[in-house]
Amino acid sequence: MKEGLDKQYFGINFMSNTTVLENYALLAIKFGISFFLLVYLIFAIVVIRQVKVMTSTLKVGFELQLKTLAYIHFAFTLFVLVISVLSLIIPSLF
Amino acid sequence: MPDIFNSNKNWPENQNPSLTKDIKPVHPTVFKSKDLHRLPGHTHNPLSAYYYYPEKVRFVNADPQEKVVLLLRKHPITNLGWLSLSFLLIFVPFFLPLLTFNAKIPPELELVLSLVWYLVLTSFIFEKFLNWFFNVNIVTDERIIEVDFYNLFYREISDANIDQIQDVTVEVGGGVRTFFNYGDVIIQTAAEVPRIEFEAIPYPDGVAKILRELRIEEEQEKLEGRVR
Repeated sequence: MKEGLDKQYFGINFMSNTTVLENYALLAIKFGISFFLLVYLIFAIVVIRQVKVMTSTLKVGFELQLKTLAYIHFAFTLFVLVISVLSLIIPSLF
Repeated sequence: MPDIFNSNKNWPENQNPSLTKDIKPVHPTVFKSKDLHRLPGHTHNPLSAYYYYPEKVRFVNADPQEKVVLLLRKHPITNLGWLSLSFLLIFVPFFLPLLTFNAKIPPELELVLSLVWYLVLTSFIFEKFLNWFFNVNIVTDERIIEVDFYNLFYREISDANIDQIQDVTVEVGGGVRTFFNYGDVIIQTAAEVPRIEFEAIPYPDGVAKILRELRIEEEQEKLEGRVR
């Protein structure tokens, strides 16, 4: 096999048996997921803000736990986004 | 001419119903701290659906002298639907090959798809929980408040004074509601919001009784000129 023909770009081997169309589809899916997660990250920030507003509206002694849950949700979103971007850039990691 | 009705004039003074000054409210608005803990329905559990004279509950726009009598949420059993669904959805990524018709998915994409699925599921559970937690009905010694938390971006708070309550209806229908003793309390008011609904709350009859007693108390306060 010639040098460089089996090179992978964004985790997709364009010289593999699968058709070029399938490869582009996979690439589009990967980019789509990363974009979705980027938007989702903004949503997670809004959730934090909303939880803060709601806990200031009603206090029952569970505010700290709720805020912590909102931050955990944000951290999880960030983690998945990082994993998604890494899978796009360095797929050999997985 | 014979008397049709003779009122019993031999009532002991402390039992005579005509002496309104002696009628004490069943739910006095001031309790000593140690007495509070002995009340049925008094709890410190932040996830309870029924708080009677809660100590730690504070809400926005509350008057300094206003005392929270009841804080109500939907009965916990109403969460069973989304909890069961969430439990089933946990297993969806295990069937990913079936869902994708055995298409060849790179392992990194499979991992990311699973993580995204669990992220969305976490968000769904969190949103549902917040929805239940913040959809509350508050009864104070002065008014009733309904906090509706439709979704993460929209909430509605409506209130009516106790003396504006015109009619209280209790609705308990169906086997599950009867078994777990929860139902709706529909309050017609003379306020700007004509109808306030306490949906699927525990002990609806007890709540209606407390509302009635608060109304009597409020009327008594008016008669005695003690209105705040």
